[in-house]
Amino acid sequence: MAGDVPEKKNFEDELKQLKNRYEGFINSANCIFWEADAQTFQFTFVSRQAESILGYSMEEWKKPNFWVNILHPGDRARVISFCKKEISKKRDYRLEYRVIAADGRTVWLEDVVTVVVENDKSAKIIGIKADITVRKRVERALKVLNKVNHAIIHANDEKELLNEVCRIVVEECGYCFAWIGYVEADKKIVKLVANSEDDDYAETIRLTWGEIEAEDEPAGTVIREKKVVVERDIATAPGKPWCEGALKRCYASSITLPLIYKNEVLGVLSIYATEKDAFDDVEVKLLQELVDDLSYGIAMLRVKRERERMQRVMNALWQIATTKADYKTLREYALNEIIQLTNSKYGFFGLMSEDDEKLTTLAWSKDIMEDCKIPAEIHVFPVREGGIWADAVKEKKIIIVNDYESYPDKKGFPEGHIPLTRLLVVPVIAEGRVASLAAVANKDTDYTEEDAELIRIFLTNIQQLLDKIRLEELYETVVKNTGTAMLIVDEDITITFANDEVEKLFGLPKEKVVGKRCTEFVARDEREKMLEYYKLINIDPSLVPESFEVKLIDAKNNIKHTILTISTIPNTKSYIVTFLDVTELKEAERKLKDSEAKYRMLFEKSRDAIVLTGVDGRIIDCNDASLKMFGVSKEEVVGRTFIDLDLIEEKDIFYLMELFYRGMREEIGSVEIRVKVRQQIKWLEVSSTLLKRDGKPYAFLNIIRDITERKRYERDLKESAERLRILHELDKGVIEGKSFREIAKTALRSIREPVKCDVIALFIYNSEEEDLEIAAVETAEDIQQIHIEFSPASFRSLSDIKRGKIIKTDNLLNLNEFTDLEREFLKVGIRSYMHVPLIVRDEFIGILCLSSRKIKAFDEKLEFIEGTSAQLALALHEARLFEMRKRAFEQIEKNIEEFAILVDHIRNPLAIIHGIAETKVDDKDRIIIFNQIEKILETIKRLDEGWLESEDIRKFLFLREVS
Amino acid sequence: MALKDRKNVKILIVDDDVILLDLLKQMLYDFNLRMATNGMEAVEKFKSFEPDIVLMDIVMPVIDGIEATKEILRINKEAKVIAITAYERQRGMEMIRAGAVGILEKPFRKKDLIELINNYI
Repeated sequence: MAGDVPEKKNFEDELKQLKNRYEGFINSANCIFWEADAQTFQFTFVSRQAESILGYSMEEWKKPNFWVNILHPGDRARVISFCKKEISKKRDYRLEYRVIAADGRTVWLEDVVTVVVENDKSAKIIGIKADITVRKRVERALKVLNKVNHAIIHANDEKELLNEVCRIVVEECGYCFAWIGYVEADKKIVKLVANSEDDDYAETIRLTWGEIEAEDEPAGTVIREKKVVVERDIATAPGKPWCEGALKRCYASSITLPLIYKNEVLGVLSIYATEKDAFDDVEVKLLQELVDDLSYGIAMLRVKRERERMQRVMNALWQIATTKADYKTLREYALNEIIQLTNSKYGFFGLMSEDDEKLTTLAWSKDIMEDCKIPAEIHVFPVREGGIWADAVKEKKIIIVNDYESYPDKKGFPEGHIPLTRLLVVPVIAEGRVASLAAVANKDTDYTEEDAELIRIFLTNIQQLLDKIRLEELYETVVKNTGTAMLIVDEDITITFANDEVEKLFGLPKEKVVGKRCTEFVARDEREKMLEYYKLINIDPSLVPESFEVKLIDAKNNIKHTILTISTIPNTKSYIVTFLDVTELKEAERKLKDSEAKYRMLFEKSRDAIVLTGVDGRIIDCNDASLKMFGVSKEEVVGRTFIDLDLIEEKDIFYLMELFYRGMREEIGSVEIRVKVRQQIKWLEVSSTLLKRDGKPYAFLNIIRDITERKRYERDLKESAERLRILHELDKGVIEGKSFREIAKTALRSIREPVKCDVIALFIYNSEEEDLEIAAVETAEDIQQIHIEFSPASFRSLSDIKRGKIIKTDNLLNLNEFTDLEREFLKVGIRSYMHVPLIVRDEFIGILCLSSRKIKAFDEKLEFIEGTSAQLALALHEARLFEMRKRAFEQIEKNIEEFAILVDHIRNPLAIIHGIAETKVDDKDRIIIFNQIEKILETIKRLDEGWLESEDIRKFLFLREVS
Repeated sequence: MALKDRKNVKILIVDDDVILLDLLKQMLYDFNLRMATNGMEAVEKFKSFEPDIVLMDIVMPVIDGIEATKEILRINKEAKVIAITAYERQRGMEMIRAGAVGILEKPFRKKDLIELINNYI
């Protein structure tokens, strides 16, 4: 036995040594050896490293559910499910997962597990846990780098790329949050351009930075110092607003990296992790690599975008340059391009006036026209009244307004203007002044310098193109509408161009003219001349007249007279040939000559006198008929006036002068004038037409007709009418039952007017008393009343008058002796008078006495007076008889009326007598009375019948005589 | 017509001759009578008395028989006016035109007068 003890001791020592060695090995290895129940996962053994790796005490490790509790909530379900599955299948396994360390850190562990089977059951599990946090971070950073690089390579749009980067960082690589901000250097702000989730946290980050570090977000430091800032434990960072928000969201650490390209900070990338101290040096290095790649990617995208936009500018310019569209369409197209190039909603562009005071807009975007309530016809805008655009003109600089609301220099809009959010105004400077201007508005994102530059390049080029097109259009319009046929002819006289007027002139479509030789259309006899001129112009243009007449032959073989003008087109061997069609002019000239000859003949041979007088009244020309009319020769009249010719009576001169001036004012057509030719009065009708040359009167064309005969007839007719009127007045007076004196007065009034005498009187002869009685007198209003006792002695030669002789005194002053009447006449200014006997059926009934203040007042009216007097005598005679009859009728009527009353006066008492007899008298006496009454009634009845007869006779006589 | 009935017949007699008026009153004593001596009075009495028959002289002062007849007919277009005239040829016709229904020529018998009245009652 003693021999066994040393062996046993040795073995125990050996075992102890081995145990110590393993314990030493287990406890010193940087991993956790462990043993646990396969069903409950409760540890039965953990190596000492367990305390240092996760910070939990050994006692804690061995508590029930310890392992399950420290599993990261994000991994717990997955890990337990996996482990249980493997244990049940008695399979050894390996897995990676996160646990929360005692200090709250997330620690990545790798477990290599062996399932120990006893009695065919999984009895326990043993394994080794290793901390793989560092490896995991590197892996994560490498993954980010890899994915982001992939995104950069495939990116087309900057914003999309930024958002994708943020997404990759969080979704694919396990960071909890990421955002990217761009630097706006002048404003000292970082503008958020992308973030990983729709979280308002990004909005709470104070994205400004100043000069002092303490006030900064990490981003501020990053930008200012161009270095990475790692916040290893946000919880221990100074209390800044961004930290508070981050902590609320369980963000434990963060890294902020600068996006630098060509030493310029473009912006920052900020990444957050849920674990403290999540970013170690290797990871930081990898993420730095990432931001370098991203910065480069962004820069490349920008270059690409600019290149594309520039390409688009070039394309648009090329399109405009090569499109066959009119000026207006191109203007609109150009504007549309500007709007699209800058992703704007609205826009306009226009030209500045030469005096730099007005902007004339050439195009407005359609949306403006639809959305804007300002009248569309306003196209010219004074600079002094303009808003931001006018400032751009005045200061000759681009204006970018990305926050319109807070922009200080805006003037506001007129009512109805579209609301603006962002605005870019680009003046295009040429030769030191603003030549044109474009404005775009309401882009979804901010306008940039690049936008402005793009517009400037585009506008500068487009303006030249538009100017060219406008000029071309102008030339085309001029050529088309010149009204002159125009050809372009090359050096061998072949026509290369023809305008619309050529079609009209040649009677051929343009296509049939172009390609032919010009001389084909020239009349045969003029081709030589044409060719000769063409040769000469090739030698020296001054050898050929600028324009000359050429006869053309059109498609229908009509000759066209034209004025041809030829001129060379500079720097070419072509010529512009224009034809002015003067065929109609030539025809008009010919017609004019014909017509002149015709009119000359009409003038010469006219039966009417035609006299051409100047506006000064002097005779320029006259025809034969006029010479005959006035009994003069042409030499006597030309150069003289009608007044010079002594044709016009002095009293008519003023009247004629008035006519002349009215004629000058074109107010008269034809007038009747009285002239004296060889002591004879002639009446002429003169129709005058005022002739004008270049709008100014230069002569009167007077067509003169002798109307003396017509005037005579007219006068006779007028006198007859007057006589009829006088008779009618007399008849009317008789019918109306007027007294003889009234009728006589009316008659005298009617006569006095046409005869134009101052006093007219009617004397009625009383044959029984052989005396004259005045029946009526009518005097001119302005003549004094004549008071005289008339007697037969008042009349010179009454006996002659009674015998029917007219006594006429032309001028009282020529008499030596005067009657009483003549003396009275002289007192009131009467100079001539006339006593006309009124005789009816050889019976002298009275005298019509006419007198006037004029001498020889009645010569012209003698005939009228005689005729009227005879009719007057008859009418007066009849009127007197009618009056006598009327008086007789009236007497008869009165008698009849009285008779009827008398009869009535008899019947009434008779009725009384009859009544009394009937009521109060006895029968015998009543019969006697009744008989007597009957006799009286019988007598009355006979008288009644006589009365009736008288009444009928009276009516008959009255009707016959009076009607 | 019975005496008793005549009392119910109202006659207005119009004449400017009071003797003739008196005679007519005696002739028609058994009728219900009213008298008027001119046209105006006749119109007034017509309104108040509302007679069945009016015996109307033509030539009267104030308003003559023709005008009075026209006025009475304006008051009652059914009124029956009998003209009594010595001057019948012209003025009698005027009375007929004015609306009188009959003419009695002066002088007249009582019998003719009564007959004429009976025609209109």
